[in-house]
Amino acid sequence: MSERPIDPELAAAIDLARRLSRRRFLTRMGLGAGAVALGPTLLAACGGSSGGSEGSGGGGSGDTELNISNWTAYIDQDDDGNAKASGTTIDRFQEATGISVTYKEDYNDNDEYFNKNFSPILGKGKTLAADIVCPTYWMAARIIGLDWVEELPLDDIPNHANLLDSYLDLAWDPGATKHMPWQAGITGIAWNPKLTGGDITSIEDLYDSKLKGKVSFLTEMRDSVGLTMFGMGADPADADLDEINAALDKIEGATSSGQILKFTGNEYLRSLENGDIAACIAWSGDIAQLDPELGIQFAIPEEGGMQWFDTMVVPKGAPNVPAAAKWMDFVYDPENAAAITEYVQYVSPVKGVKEALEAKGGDAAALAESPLLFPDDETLSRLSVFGELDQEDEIDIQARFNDITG
Amino acid sequence: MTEPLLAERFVLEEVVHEPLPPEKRRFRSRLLGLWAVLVYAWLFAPIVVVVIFSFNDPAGKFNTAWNEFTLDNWADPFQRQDYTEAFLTSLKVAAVACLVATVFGGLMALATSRYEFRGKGLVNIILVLPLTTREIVMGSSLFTLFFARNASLGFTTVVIAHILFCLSFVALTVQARVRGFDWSLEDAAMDLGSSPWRTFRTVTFPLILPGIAAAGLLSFALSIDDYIITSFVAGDGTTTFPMRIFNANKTELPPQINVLASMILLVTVGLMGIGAWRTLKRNAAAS
Amino acid sequence: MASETSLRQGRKAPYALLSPGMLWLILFFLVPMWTLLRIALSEKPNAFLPDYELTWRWANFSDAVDRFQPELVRSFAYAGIATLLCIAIGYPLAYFLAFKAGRWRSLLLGLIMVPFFTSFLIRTIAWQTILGQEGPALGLLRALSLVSVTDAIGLTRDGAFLNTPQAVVGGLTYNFVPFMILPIYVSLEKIDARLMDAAQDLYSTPAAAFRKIVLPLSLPGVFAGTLLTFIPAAGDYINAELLGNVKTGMIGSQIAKLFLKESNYPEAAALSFIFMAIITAGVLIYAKLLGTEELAA
Repeated sequence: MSERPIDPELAAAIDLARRLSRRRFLTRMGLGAGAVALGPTLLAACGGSSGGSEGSGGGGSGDTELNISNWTAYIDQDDDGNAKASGTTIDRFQEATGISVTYKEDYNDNDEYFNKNFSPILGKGKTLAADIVCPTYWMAARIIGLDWVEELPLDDIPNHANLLDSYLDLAWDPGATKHMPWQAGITGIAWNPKLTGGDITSIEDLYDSKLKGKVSFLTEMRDSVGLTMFGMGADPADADLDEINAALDKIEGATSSGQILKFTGNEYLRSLENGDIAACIAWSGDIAQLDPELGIQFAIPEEGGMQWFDTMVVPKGAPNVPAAAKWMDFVYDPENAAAITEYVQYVSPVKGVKEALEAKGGDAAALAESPLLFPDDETLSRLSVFGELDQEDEIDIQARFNDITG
Repeated sequence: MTEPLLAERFVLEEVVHEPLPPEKRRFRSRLLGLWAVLVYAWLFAPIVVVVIFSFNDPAGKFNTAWNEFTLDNWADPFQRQDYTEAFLTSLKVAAVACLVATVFGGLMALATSRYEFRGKGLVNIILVLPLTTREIVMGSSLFTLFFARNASLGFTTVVIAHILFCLSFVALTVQARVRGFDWSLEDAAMDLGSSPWRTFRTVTFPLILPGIAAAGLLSFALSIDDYIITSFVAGDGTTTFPMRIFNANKTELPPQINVLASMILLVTVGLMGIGAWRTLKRNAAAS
Repeated sequence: MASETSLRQGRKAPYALLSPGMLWLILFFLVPMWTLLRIALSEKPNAFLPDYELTWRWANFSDAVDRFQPELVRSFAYAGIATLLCIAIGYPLAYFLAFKAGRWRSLLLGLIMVPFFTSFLIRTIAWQTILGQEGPALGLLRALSLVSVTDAIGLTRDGAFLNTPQAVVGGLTYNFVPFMILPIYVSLEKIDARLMDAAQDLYSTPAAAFRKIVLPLSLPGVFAGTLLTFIPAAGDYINAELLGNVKTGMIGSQIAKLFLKESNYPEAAALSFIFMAIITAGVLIYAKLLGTEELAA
């Protein structure tokens, strides 16, 4: 089953993360002890929960409604930008199942969602309104570790079999029974050739004083630090603390010298389009979605690029677990997954998407040839997933990074 | 946050003008006039951009570069379901917040301006405090409260916060407008045998109505525009229009945003115009 | 002064009228402030879990000051410069409106507020369009070959408006200038025209008349405007986020980041209090100068 060109290398990359995430097990043990110490409060919160109609733990059995919280521009839409317009994935799902979908693009930031929703609500044993949320892999690992998600009813998700094998042995969710990947992507560098006057091939180019004040980095710590680590000859998959701190030093220096103008989320797109910045750290799908006439280029730096994926998880006590299962099954059908891929242009975690695109012909078939959507082995060998961090380390690093990003 | 308090006084009250001082220093006047033109141009520059770009048919996802004139955006301003939903959420929040804040705040203003009672000074201080508290502090304090009380963030918490920051505005606006009223009119009505309720309805209420209306309009405008406080207390699926714009402007800026913003502008300016016109008429009738 | 039957004599009535609003203010303003203060003195043993313990950790305050000193200084510096610019821009305009606008006065006054009835965010995004590399502002400068001049005088930086401290201060000035213009206008408008005539008779030059009569009488307006501009400008961070760069972060975004990114509620709460304390000190000084009635009005 793993003969897809993508499999072995993605497996290798994720393997590395998994190897490093053995520590996660210890962390979880630590948390377990913490939970015992905090037992009374937690138990009281659980027992006395009046938040969700279903109470905590059980998960609801609704299958007529479904609430999804996702990132913006992360599913196919019609030309007018409506994600529920006729013919879109959501529309076809509603037609096929009779489930009415409330699709919100309100997952804007992993940390923010964690601090506003996961931690204060799930952490107190109450339930969220969303049946499916889409945290990035490291956040999914965190909330799975905290036991804030529902076990997926795999029997109701036959298409779970279409999940690429490499995702099946993650240390934080072996067999992918608590999450299903939504889309994967690559973090590399993007540039506007009109302003750079040439191609940007190396991470070090971003630190070149020729681009001083014309460079933006990402507020996503793992992307900015990871790429810088590559540039310094380290592998972010090792998540070595000294190397991370050295990378932070370098970013800090470039920030105070004025080399790095801004730290951004997706808004680098507009800055790049408008010429306010010349080059930046960017996500592959964003650039692939851009109008080619703009001439914006994207590359995986020669030193290496970051790889990541966003997931679908069912928060603990979600009211409509069966409907969530039906959704996951639906979007793991290769045809449906291909429709999403065609629009969002990220790397799909679903088997058979390439064939489905080829079968569609035309523009879709051209996408099947895109190295950014279906990276070849050579490309994949240059990608890393950021290694697992201890909770304490993660907080320290994030705090330091936040200080740098201003 | 006391700002619009002043604003509304000008807009709605300052319509009667006095005779000008004799015009002598022509050159200095012209210079001042030129300055005024420049300042107004500066004040209106972004608005002009917003309105012009509501007629743009952008080439890419960002409606920031002029491409082609179109009326499509105005023909179908609610085409983008997600923005429309957020817009409706904002309208709902603003309507509830404005209604509750106007009633509560109006009553408070009535109490503080009409009665002498123990603790009035303290009440006045508590009324002013929220206005001097920055949005970021108010937002984060509400966030910690809801967090500590296990309240889930959502529509209710947003409405609670909006009522809160509108309340002081309403109370102080109405207070400022009824200051100096001759409350003995009420006594006169009572002496003539009017019941307290009837006195309120026929004497007191008409007196405070303009203040109430202005305060209501202001709190509506405040509520519909708030981003910082809302960003702390909205969660789990409740998205207001400013939040939607703030989050979506990273990946797209559809022209419908400009249309909806222009619509808000038209409506508020319209309401302001009506208010000013009524005051003008009243003043004309009075003089 | 009032008769026995006066409505104003009721003992319980004012409290009844006050109670719903006061209840709201107590529940959702005073209690949250209390919660915030408790959290500012607490520790969060595990950043990922929603529990915190009140341990009277005053060090949260000193930690916050140590860590965010640059942002605190920057917030008040930007707000200060923006306030000065507001005076420079707003005073002549208020003077024009009070004395020179004639019958257009009410219309012109109303117009000042019109831009502020579109969304704050949308206005600021529009400034991004105007100030961007391909926007009309730079287009005009380039057409006039003035970019090097504006660079030299510090209006632009390396030929760019956007993503500079100048743009942030400009945005703050823009967004809060009406609250400078209006109070100055009020104080100017109160000046008796006959006083102006008398002043011109008394003093030899119009400049002297202005300095001795108009300026002192308008100072309360300037004071009021200063607070109305300075306080919100210091607390704002949207301008810094949309128009600035990595080195223009203001205190508001740091508080938001501590709460929503780092889950460091105690330090965030402490920072909120420090910020509020500085502001409150300013307000108290102001109240002492002019009295709370003026502030309320």
